Amino acid sequence: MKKVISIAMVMMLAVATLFAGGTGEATAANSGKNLLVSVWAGPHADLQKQVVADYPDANVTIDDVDYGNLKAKQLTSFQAAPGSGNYDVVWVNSLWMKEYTDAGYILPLNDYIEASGLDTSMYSKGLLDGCTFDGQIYGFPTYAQTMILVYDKAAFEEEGLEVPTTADELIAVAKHFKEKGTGIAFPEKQGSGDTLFSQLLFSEGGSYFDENGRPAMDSPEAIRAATIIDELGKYAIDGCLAWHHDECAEAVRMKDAPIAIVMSALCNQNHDPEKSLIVDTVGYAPMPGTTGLAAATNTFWVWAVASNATDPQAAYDLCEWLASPEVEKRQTIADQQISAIETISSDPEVLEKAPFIPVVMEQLANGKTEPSLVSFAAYKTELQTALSEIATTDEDPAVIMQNLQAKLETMDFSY
Amino acid sequence: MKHRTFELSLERGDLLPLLLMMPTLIIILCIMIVPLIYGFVLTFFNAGFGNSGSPAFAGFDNWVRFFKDETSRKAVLNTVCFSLGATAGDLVLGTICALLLVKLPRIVSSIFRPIVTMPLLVSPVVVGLIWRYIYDPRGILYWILGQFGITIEDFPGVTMPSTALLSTIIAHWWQVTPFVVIVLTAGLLSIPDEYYEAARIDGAGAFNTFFRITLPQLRNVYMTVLIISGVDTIKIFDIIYALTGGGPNNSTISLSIYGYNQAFVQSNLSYAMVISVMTMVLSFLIFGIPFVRNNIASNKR
Repeated sequence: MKKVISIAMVMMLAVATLFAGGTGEATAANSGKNLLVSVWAGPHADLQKQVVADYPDANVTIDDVDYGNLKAKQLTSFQAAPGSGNYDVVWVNSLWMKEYTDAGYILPLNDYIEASGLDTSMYSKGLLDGCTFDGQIYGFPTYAQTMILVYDKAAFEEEGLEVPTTADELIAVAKHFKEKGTGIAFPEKQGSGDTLFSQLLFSEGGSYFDENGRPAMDSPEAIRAATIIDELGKYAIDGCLAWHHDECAEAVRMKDAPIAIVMSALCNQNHDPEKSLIVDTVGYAPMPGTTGLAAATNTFWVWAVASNATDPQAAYDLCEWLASPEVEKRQTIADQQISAIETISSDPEVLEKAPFIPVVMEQLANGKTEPSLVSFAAYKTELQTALSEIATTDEDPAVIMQNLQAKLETMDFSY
Repeated sequence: MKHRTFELSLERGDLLPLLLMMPTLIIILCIMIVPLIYGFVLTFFNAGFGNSGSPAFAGFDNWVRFFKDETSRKAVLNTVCFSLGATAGDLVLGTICALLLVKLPRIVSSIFRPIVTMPLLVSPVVVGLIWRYIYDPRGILYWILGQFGITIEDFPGVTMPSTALLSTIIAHWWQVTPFVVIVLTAGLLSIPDEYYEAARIDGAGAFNTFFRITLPQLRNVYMTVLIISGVDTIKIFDIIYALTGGGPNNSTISLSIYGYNQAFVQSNLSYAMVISVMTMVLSFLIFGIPFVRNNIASNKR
C-alpha cells in the first residue's frame, strides 16, 4: 500500500512540476497574459501565427480550425466559463455577426474604443456597418473577400478569346473551353454555390427578400442568377460538382482549367511559384452579371472579443492591434489579403504584390450585405440544396427556384 | 410450511456489492442517463445556442415537423440504405478476406494481415479526405477506370446523386472491412479442426462445409460484429461529411449530418435532439432487436 501511495505522490509531483514550468515561462515573457484566439484554418492562418508572435503585450495562441467546424467550436467555447480554456478573441465570419451579437457571445467595444481613442473612420464604412448593431461596434472588419474571375492569359491568347465582361460572354467562353476538353471551374459542391449565387443575384439587381419582407427566390433576378449557374455548370470542368472553393482555385493554378471563379482570399497562391503554374500569365477580371455589373457579397471577417474572455481589456487590445494599419499592411503584402482599411488597397507597395486587389475593390464598391437574420442560415441551407439540384439534374432552374420559394414561404424569417 | 424471510444484514456485508457498484452507477447516471433525459426533454422546447432565458415550450411541434420534413425523410432513407449496404458489404467482404487469410500459408498471412488491417488505423475524417482525392476526376480511380474505357460520365462517383451514396459506402467498406477481418479470423481459428476433418471424411464440399459448419459456428461472432458495425453505420457522420457534406442534392445526407446542421448551422438544438433521438430509435429497431432476440434464443439453447 505504501508503495502505491509513494508512486502516486511521485507522479502528482511530476505533473505539478511540469505545469508549473509551463506557466512560469509564459509569465516571464508576457507579464502573465495569455490569450487564446480562434481563427479559420485558411491559407492565411500560418501568417497570422507569425504575426501574433510579435505581439508585445501577451502570449497569444492561435487555434486554427477548418471552416466546416469553426463555428461549432466557437459556439461550444462561448458556453464555457471564463478561464476554462475558452477563446478570448474570435475571428468571426461577417455572416455570423448578428447571431453572435443577439446571443451576447461577443462584447460591444464602444467603451474600449472611446478609452483608447481609436479612429474607426479608417475602416470601409460598409464593412464597419456590418459589425455595428444598435449603434454598438462589436468588432473590427478585416479580410474582405469576394469571388472574381481568374484566368490564364496564355490560354486566352492561344484561343484568341477576349476576357468576358458579361454573364453571356462568360458562358460562351466556358462553352468554348468545354468543347476543347476543359471548361470553367467554379464551386458546385452542395454548400459551396451560394456565394456565387449571392453575387449574381446582387449583380442582377435582386435581393433575398422583397419590400414586404417575403422571400424573393421566384423573382426574375433570382431565376436569372440560377439560370446563369445552370448554364455555367453545363460547361464546367469534370469534377466541379464535388469541388469546394479550394479545389477550383487549384484547378486554375495548375492549368487544369483555363478560367475559374475563385474566392479572392485564395488568389495569393496564384503568385507562388511553388504552388502555381500560371505565375506569369495569371489575369483577373470582375465576375459579371447580365449587364456587366459585378457586385460582391460583402463577406469579410471580424476580430471580436468573446464575452467570456478571461481578460476583456487584454483581448480588446489584441483586436485593435491586429486590425491596425501596420499589421493589416504587413499581412496584405505578405499574403495579399484584402484589408478593410481603404488606404491600404491603393498603396503602390501593396498593389505591386497583389494585382487582383483593384478587381476585388471594384466589386466590393458595388457590394451588398446578406440579410442579418439568425434564421437566414435555414434560408441558405434550402438555397444550397436547390442549387445542388440545379447542378445535378436537368430540371428547369425556374421550376426549382419556384419550388424553393414555396418552401421558404412556409418558414419563419422574423428573427 | 415455514417461510424464511430475508433480512438485510450490514454485518454480513449485504450492501457491499451495491457499494462497490455505486461509483460506476453514479458515473453512468451522470454522463449517460441524465444527458439523455435532458436531451429528450429539450425536444419539447424551442432551444438554441445562446437563447436568453428559458426556451419556449413547443409541445410536439418538433416531432410533428420531423415526420413532415422532406429532408428528414430523405435522411432516414439514406441512413438506412447506408447502414444496410455498408454492414452487408463489411460482412461479406470481411468473410471473404478472413477465409482467404486463414487458408494462406502462415508466413504469407502474417505479412498480409497487418497490411489488410491498415485502413482501420486511419481516422474516418481522413478516410473521407483520402477518398475525395480518389474520386477526383484527376485521381487514381478515374485513371484506372480510364484504362477500361470508363469515364466520369459512366460512373460519376460523388458528383451525382445516382452514385454518391454508393461511393460513400465503398469508402466505408475500405475502412471497416479490416475490423470484420480481425474478428472473423479469430472466430475462424477457434473452430476445431475435427469438424472440418469429419466433413471431409463425409465428402462435404467447400460450399456445404462453409454453410453447415463455418457459418453456424461463427453465429455469435457475426452478431457481435453486426451490432458494433451496424450501430456505427447508423450514426455515420465523419466519412460522409468529409467526402460529400451530405450532397449532391441531399443524396448522402444522414441523420447525424442533418442533426449537426440543425444544431450548429441553424442553431436549432431542439430539432437536432429530435433527430438524435430518432437515430437512436432507428439503431435499436434495425440492430438492437435482432441482437436481443439472438441473446434470448442463445439463453434458451
